[in-house]
Amino acid sequence: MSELHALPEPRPVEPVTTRLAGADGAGADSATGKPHDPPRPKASGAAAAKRPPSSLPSRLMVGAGAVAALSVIGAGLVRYPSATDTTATTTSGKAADSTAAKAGSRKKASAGGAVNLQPVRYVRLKPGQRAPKGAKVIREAAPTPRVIVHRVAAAPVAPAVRTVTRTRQSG
Amino acid sequence: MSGTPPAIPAVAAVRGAVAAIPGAGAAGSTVALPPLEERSLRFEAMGGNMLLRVATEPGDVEAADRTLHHVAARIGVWAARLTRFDQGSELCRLNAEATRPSTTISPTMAALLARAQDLWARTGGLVDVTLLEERLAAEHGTTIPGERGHGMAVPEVGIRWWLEPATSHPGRRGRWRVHRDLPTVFDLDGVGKGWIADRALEALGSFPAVLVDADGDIAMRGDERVSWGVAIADPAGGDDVALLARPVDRAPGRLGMATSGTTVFRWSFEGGWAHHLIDPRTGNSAGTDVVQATVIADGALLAEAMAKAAVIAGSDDAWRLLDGPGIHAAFLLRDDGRLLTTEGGMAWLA
Repeated sequence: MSELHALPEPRPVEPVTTRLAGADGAGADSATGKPHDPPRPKASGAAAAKRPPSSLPSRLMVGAGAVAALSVIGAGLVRYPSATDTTATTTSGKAADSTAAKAGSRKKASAGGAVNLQPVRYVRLKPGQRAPKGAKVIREAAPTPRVIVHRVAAAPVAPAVRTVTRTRQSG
Repeated sequence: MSGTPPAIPAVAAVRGAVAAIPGAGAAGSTVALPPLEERSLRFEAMGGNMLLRVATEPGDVEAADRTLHHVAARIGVWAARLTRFDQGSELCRLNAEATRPSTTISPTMAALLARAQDLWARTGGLVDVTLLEERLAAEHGTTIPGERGHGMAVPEVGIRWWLEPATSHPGRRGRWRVHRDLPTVFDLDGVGKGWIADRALEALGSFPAVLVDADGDIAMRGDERVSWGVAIADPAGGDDVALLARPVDRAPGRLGMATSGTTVFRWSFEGGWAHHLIDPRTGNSAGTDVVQATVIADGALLAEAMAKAAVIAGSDDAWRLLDGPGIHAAFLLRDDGRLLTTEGGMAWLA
């Protein structure tokens, strides 16, 4: 037979409230009305007693965080594919296939990650070629003409051949 | 015994003919060599035109003129021995004794005949200096009684004459004897000029650059300060030029250049024509598709012999002959108008 035990009567739980200092005058200096400074932890030991707590660790933490953030932003800018990306501007079918295979593998790799980047493949159309259905066609900007100046030395003038005699059929 | 050498004219200066090429000598050389001055001498020998041309230092002009005259005189002596156009020549005397089994000959004649033997062997017998009767018959449109052409590969026949030192004449040093097992007469017109050109080049060895033209058979030696072009005459004759070569620019060492063909020395007769290049296999003018052959070789005599052999052999068989030591380039003009050349031959042209 089981024995029944009586559970203790539950106690009412007081709601936890957060009070901002100075909101209702509690915690404020009664003379000036300004809030009290939070109590500083008391240092223990003789050395702690001599110097105030250093803010260097927290500054280092903030600096490292800023560097990390800048790195992430910079990497995102660099990796952003552009129309002149050489890996994307394939024209031959073979190269396009290899690019597609790469894109596929990249997709698989990113499937398990938090961010799924859809690779964009750019193909330069040859004259007469048509874009696949649904592809967005971007008109490529005309290349900036580059002028390369070669300074070619004057070609040496071949000396005229002086014919001093002739070989001929002899008897 | 020998004919009289022809008179030799005065040496002619070739003004402004030498181009100095600064720094064209040894690699890295920056010092311009002083320009050379050319001197030339023309005269007649062996029934043709001879030219001696040398490039010398400007201060040595008088000595150069004396040397040219000296060498021209020696050529006259050689030619007087070897020509068949002078009844007093050693060659004519040798041919007059054609029925004798042996004849004593001079060192000059022996040296040339020894070289002729070498060339006979090298060309498979196509260059044969004993075909004078066949040539004369071709000139006159006649045939030689009896069968002269042996109709087979020449080396199987063997040479019909040979040389040995004339030991029976101890007082006449350097003389040789030529033995003949059949009545044999010699024609040295072709090989004689090439041999003379080579000998004259040696005699002019003190000059920086030399060119000896023995009626179209040319021996030469170059210098970086001279650039001599040698024209290859058009087979049609006249003054036209078929090709132009710059042999001494490419190989400044000793060179020879000679041309042989069927279009200049040829004679028409009723019912046909003949030329002077006799095929020893038939005894008649060679039936060949090569109109003219020019060879650049280590010497004028070798070039002349190989050019003649190439014409007689024809374009199909000529390459086997021309693929040998001492031959630098060859140019064959065929009767279909095509120019054939050995590998690398075009590099010798201007």
